[in-house]
Amino acid sequence: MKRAQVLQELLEIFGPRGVLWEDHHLLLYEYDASIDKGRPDFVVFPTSTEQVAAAVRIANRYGLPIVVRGAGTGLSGGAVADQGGLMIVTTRMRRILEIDPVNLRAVVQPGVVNIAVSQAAAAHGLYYAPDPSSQKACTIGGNIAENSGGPHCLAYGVTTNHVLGLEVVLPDGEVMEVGGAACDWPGYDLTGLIVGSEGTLGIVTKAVLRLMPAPEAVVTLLAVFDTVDQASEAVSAIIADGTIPGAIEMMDHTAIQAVESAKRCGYPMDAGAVLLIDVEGLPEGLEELARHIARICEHFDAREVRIATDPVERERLWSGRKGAFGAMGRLAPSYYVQDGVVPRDQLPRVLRQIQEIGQRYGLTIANVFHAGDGNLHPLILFDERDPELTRRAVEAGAEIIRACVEAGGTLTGEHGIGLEKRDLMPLLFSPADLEAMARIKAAFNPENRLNPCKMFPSTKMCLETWSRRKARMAEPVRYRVAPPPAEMEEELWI
Amino acid sequence: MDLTMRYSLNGSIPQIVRQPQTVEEVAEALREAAHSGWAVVPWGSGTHQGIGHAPSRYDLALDLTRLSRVLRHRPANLTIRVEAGIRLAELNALLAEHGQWLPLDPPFGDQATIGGILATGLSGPLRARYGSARDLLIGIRVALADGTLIQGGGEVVKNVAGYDLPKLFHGALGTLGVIVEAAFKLWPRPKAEATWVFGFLRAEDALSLTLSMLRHPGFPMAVEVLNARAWEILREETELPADPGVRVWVLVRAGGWPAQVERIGRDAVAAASGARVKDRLPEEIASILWARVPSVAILPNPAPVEALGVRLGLLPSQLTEGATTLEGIEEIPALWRAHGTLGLIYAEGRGPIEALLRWAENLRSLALTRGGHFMILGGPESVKQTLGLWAPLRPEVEVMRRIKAQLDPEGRLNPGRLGWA
Repeated sequence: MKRAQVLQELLEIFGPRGVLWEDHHLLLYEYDASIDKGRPDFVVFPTSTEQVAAAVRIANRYGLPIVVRGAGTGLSGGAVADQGGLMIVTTRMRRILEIDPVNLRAVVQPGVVNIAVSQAAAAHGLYYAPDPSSQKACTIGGNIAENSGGPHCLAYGVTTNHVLGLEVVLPDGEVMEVGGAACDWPGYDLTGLIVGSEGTLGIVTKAVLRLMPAPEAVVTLLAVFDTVDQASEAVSAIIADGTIPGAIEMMDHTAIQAVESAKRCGYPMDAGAVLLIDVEGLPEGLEELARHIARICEHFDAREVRIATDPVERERLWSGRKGAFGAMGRLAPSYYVQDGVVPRDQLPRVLRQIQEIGQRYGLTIANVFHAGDGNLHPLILFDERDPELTRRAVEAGAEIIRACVEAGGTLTGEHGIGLEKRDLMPLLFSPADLEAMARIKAAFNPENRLNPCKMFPSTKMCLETWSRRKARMAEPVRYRVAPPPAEMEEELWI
Repeated sequence: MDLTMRYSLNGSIPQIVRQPQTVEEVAEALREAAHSGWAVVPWGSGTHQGIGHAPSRYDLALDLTRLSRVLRHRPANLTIRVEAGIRLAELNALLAEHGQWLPLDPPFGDQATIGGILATGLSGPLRARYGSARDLLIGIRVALADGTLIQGGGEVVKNVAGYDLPKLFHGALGTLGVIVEAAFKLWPRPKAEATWVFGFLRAEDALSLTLSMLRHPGFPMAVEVLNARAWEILREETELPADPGVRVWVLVRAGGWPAQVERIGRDAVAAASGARVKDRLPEEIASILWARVPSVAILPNPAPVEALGVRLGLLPSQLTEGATTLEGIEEIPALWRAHGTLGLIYAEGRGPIEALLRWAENLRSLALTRGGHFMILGGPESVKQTLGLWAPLRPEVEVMRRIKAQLDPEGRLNPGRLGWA
C-alpha cells in the first residue's frame, strides 16, 4: 500500500485542511498526557458522522490501524498511535446538538469539551455532573472512552452513570445507535459496555447525556491534619458514618508545599495533609451537615477545620486542588501519576506503603486524590531527562499499583489502562477473564482495527513496538532528535 | 411433587435440576451440561421467569438459591460482595444493623434474589434517587456456558480496568452467563423519611409535579405515578386516601436530613397545585405502601391467561401520552404505574387476546413514534411471538447476536429467550 494512495483518498474526503500527513505536523499528534509516544501515519479531522465512517472505510481498505483522539488529555496512552495508522481527531465535531431542559438530557458530538455541556445547561439551572480535573480541555468523547471520573463523582457517579445512549461507528464503517434518551433499552446494555472501552469497540459520534439540577447551596470544608494517617482515618469515618458528601479530596504535605508556593490558596505549609470536602444540595440542613462532618474531622485530631460558604472563598480553597498537578513543576521537572483505587478503609495502610515505596526508590511522591472514592493519585516526581530516574519512576508506579490490588483494589479508577497499564492487567484478571473480554472485543472489532494493542496485555504483534517504546524511554532527551524523513512512497509497515 | 415440576416454564419441564451450594458446583453443573449438550435455565426465586420468550430448549434447571452467602461486607467502605442466590430482603435486613442498605426495590422484592434482579434488570421506585442495580453494581462473577468462571469490576466504587462486564450481564436475562457473585456499593439509610400522596383529575396536572420533582436538587427518593385502577390495588392493602374523581395518583417519597425532607415535601405540595388530594402519609402506612408499590402492574409468574404485562420507555415529559394510550381501549381496563422522573411505565392489561393485541400494538406504535421503546414483560407466548418481544429492533441486535455467539457459542444458556439468541 502506498502512502500516496491513502493520502489521495483522505484528501478527497477531508480536503487539505482536514488531513495531516507531514512529519512536522504528525509530531504534534504523537503523544497525549501520558508518558508514551507513537506517531500516526495520517491524522484526519472529521466534522460529521459520515466523515468518520468514510475515514474508517479508507483505513479498512488499506489495513491501517485506527486511533481516535479527543483533546489528548488522557493519562494512560489510550490516544497514542503506537502502531501508527490513521488517527481520527474529534475536535471539529464540537456541536451541542440539543439541550432538553424538561427531561434533563443533552445530545452532543464527541468533540464537545466537558465543561461546555455544563455551561450550555447552566441557563436552565442544570449541569453535567462528571467533572474530570481536565474538564476545561477534555472532550465528552474522551470521557466516554475512559469512563472518566472527577472529584464530584463520589456523590453522583462517573461518566457511565450519566450516558444514556450513543451513536457509534463500528470498525466496519457501519453506524449504529445504542441506548437513547429513554431509560432501560431492551437487550444487552451496549451503551454500558462501550463506555470505558477505550476506543476499542466503536467510535462514538454522538452521545445522549443525563443532566442534573444544580445544587442550590454548596459548603466547602478545609480540614487540616498533622498526618496523612489522621486525614485518611477521617475519610473512612465520614464514609462509614453514612454521610456521602459531594466530594472529599486529599492533599498530602508534599502536594501542599507545591500548591502553596504556586497558588497561595491558604493551606498551612506545615500541615501533614488537608481534606477538601464539598457538601451540597438544598440549603436546608446543609450547615448542620457541614458541622457534623467537621466534628468527625476533629474527632480524628484535625487541628483546624475551616467552613467556607462564600463562593470566592470556596473557589480559593478549590483552586489549590485544581491546580495541583500543574504546581508539581515547582518540585520536579516531570511527574508520573498513578490512578489505583483501594477500598476506603484501606487508605491509611496503602498511603503508608506508597511513602515507603517512594523512599525505597529514592523518589519523592506527592498525593493529591479523590479520597472519598479511595481513588489514589500518587504523583511520582522525577526528571524524564534522566533515564535512570525515569526507569525508577515507572517501576515505583507499577509497585504502587500492585499494592493497591493487594489491598483489594484496582489498577485504575478513571485514567484507563491504555498502553501504560496493559501489561499489569494480569494482576487483576485471570486468563479466562481476559479471554472473555477478548471475545467481547471480537464481537465488535474482529480484525482488531480499532485502537489495537491497548487495554490488554501485549500480543506478539504489539511487542515489537513495546520494545521500541522501552528503548525510547531510555533515550536521554526525547524531543531533540529529528525523526528520519519519511519517504512518501514508503510501504506502510502494518 | 416431582422436583422438576417446580421449574416448569410455559408447560415445559426440565429433565434435570441442580441446586449447587458453591460457585465451584455451579461451574461443575455447567461443565456437565456442556458435555451433555444440555440447554440451561438459571433460576433464582423464579418470580420473573416469564420475562422474554419461553426457552426453546430446556434440559437443566440451575437453581442458585442455595448459593446465598455474604462473602464480604466492608461497612467502612460501603460495599458488599454476595453470592447470587441471596434474597434482597435478607441482605437488607443484615445491612440495616449497620444503618446501610442496597437501595433496590424491584417487583416482588420480598422474594427476589440478587442474581435474578441483576439478570432481569428490573428496577423499582427508589431508582429515582439511587439509580438502578446497573448503577450500584461494581463487580460481578459469572459462570460461562462451558463452566469457565470469569469476573469483572471489583469491590471498589471506581474502577475502569477492563471492559465493564457488570453492565453486560445486567439485564441480559441469563443468556450470556450465570451470575454467581455480585459486589455493590451501598448507601447509608436516610436519617429521615416522609411520603406524600397527591391525587389528580387530569394526567397533565400530575405531569407538572413529576417534572418539577425531576429537577429538584433535593433528589426525592421516589416519584411514582399510578392510575386509579392501580391505586385500588394498593387500597386493598392499607388505608389510603380515596376519591372517585381522581384519575392519576402520585407518590413522592423524600429522604435525607429532616430539614431536607420537609423542604422536598413543601415543594411537592406547591408543585401539585392542581391536586384534589394532598396528604402526608403516616409512617406505618407509608412503609406498607412502599413494600407493595413495586409489584403493582407487574404480572406474576406464571401469568394468568388473557393477561399481558408490558413496559414502555418514554421521556418523563411523555407520561401523559403514555397514559392516554394505555387507557385507550375499552375492553382492556389497564393498570399502570410509572417511575415519574424516568419515563418508564409498567402496565398490566387483562381481557380477550384480540383486544390485548390491539392494546399492545397501540403502545408499541406510541413508543416507536416517540423515539422510545416497548417490551412485553409477561403474557402468553403466542402474543410474544405475534408482536415480537420488544421494539424497535435496531441494527445493534446484530452486535448483540455476535456477543451471544462469542460467549455462548452453542446457544445453550436460556436459548430463544430473547427471540434471536
